[in-house]
Amino acid sequence: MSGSSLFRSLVAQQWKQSTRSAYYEKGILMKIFISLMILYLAINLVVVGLFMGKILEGAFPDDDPAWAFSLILFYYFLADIILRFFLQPLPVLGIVPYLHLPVKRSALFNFLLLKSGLSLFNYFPLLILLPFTLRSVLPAWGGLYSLNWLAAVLLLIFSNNYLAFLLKKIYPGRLWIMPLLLLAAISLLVTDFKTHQAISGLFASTLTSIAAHTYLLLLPLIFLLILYLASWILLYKNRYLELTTKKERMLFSGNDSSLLASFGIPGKLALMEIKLILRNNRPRSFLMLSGMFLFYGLLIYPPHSRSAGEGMFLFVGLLITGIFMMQYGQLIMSWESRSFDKIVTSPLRMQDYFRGKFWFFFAANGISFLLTLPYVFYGYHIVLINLACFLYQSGINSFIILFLGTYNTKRIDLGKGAMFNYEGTSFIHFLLFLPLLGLPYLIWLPFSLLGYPTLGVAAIGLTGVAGLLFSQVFIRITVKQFNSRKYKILNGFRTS
Amino acid sequence: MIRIRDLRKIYGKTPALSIAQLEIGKGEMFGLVGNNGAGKTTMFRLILDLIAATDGEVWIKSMPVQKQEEWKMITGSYLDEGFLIDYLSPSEYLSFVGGLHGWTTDDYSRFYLSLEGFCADELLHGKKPIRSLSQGNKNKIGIIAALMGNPEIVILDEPFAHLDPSSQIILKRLLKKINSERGTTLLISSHDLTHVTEVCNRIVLLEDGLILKDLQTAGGTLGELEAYFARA
Repeated sequence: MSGSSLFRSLVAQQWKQSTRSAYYEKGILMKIFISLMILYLAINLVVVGLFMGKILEGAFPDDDPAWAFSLILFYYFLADIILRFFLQPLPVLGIVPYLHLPVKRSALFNFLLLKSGLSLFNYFPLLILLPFTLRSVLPAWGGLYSLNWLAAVLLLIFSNNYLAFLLKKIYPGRLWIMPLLLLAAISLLVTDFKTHQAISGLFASTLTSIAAHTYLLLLPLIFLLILYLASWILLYKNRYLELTTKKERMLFSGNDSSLLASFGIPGKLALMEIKLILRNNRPRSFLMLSGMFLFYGLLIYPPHSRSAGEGMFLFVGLLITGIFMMQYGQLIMSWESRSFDKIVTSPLRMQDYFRGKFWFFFAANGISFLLTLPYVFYGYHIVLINLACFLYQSGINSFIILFLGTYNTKRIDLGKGAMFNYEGTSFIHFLLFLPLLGLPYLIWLPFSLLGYPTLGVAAIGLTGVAGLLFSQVFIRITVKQFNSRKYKILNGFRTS
Repeated sequence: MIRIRDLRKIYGKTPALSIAQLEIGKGEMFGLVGNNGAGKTTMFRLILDLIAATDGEVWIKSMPVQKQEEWKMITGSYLDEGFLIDYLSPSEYLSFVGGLHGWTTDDYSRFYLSLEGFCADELLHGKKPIRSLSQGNKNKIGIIAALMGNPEIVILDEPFAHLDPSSQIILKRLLKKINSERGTTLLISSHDLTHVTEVCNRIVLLEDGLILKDLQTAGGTLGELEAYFARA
């Protein structure tokens, strides 16, 4: 096979891989929703780009906008390399099936590296860069300068791409590299600020000199080529390591006679659930996201954020006590889709299975609530609101989520990355946040309008308690619902 | 022990399985053979209520599987990887299954002893998650889980596939022992005619979802089956 036709068939197979992935099999509504989100984001960036010149004029009145923007780019590149390190997936997969075929290895490596150049990370800065160049650089400096400037920035963006690749490849799975990298970035920033932007200023001056003298473009070009070559060599050196399965981390591998296991079947199920969450990428990222939501209160509760009233506190309370359940729980059962045949044939009554899920939700919300207790600093009424929210989330929303969870029939591959992964998610899952967060407001609003918002909060809490008291009934209803959809769920989990 | 009546499964227009009547008695060693697509796995899935029957019913010990779930307490099964919880280590998985049976530490050690070396200790107590085990070792864990809790019925789909020769021999001995000591009813499907005739005392041959032969294993059974498959 000649080089170019090999390349073409590799590209074609890559295309097939992505178009046959779960994303394209999603419902039309979901596609529209995600497209709109992306479009919205893109428009935002373009607008920022268009007004960047004005913003810079305000911030750096004495400096040329191209220079000032270059200065900012220094910080961007610093952040970019760290973000890439954490978020950008390594393009390692997919060459193993080719290694035994009569295909030149070097062609495969080139393909792999060029493919990583296609990462979205490399292109979304263009949404800001292009409008900025057209509006602010072009009128001031002319065509050649603008082109050179843009080319230099692009070369650096791609350099960052391979730099991240190198960092990730050299230290795969070494946890200590992360704090080290952060520390290096922070100390660089600190030195920069201490020296009145000596480092970033140098960077900006270099960039603008390159823009002024075309031949200097060789500098970033050589830089990029060196990084590309280094990546290539690293791939070559690791060519056998690609084949070995990487060692998996087994978090939470304590013994099973732990405290949880002594809670009978619900305890055992909860233990499994915890292992599922901690040992798999996607649920783990939901957990971390929920952790970050805990800090949401810091934006709202302090007295100086005047716009916040009881209604806003309620919103925050519902969100931080239940965000994990609302996110993770919406895909309940789907998480276990790969082993669901075992679950329905095990000596486990579905009644107990759903009771286990319910108690798991209760515990998750309870832990979230306990973690919000420090907010008592901003007044005890916040704790009371959060308590009401916790009760409501556990008594009412948990059952809504369990009941509607029986409509999940998509298989989820737990091993896949979490970023931008909407596998198993449908438009309904986004829509569901409306009743989950809206219904408590319907309870609260009449009281609030009559001038008793605190009574409204109490009513929300009491509704939750009522839900908890009737949990047996709700669980029975859920089991019935499950039984009516059992074969659809099983079939979906097995095949889709 | 298991009763099947007028059971049919149709995918679209193609019938996958059609059994007018089948009874599997207590303590029977029931073997299922047939080429790919003959309906073996479909039959097991219908017995375990994993797919909806187009019509007909299955009873396990006079419990209709579609309407009750008590049969789960006395039935152990392993059909495919969907029966494994692959982010757990083997011992975590097995202790989860044992936990559902209410097992204590004593039960585990007695059980592992009774396996007669079917599963090496390194595998049982290894720290690797099931998803990074080899196919053969995955199967072993699944089979072991199916045998836990003294089930009255054990259903295994292709249990000998991917196993190394020693394990195949041990497994055959193990299954026979469980059957003779506890009267466990065994349902096994296999592509390996030698194994299945060696273990089972009754063999049913499926073709295109229909029962073509229903044989009590005797001296000539293996030859008869080989003759059929050579013809097909």
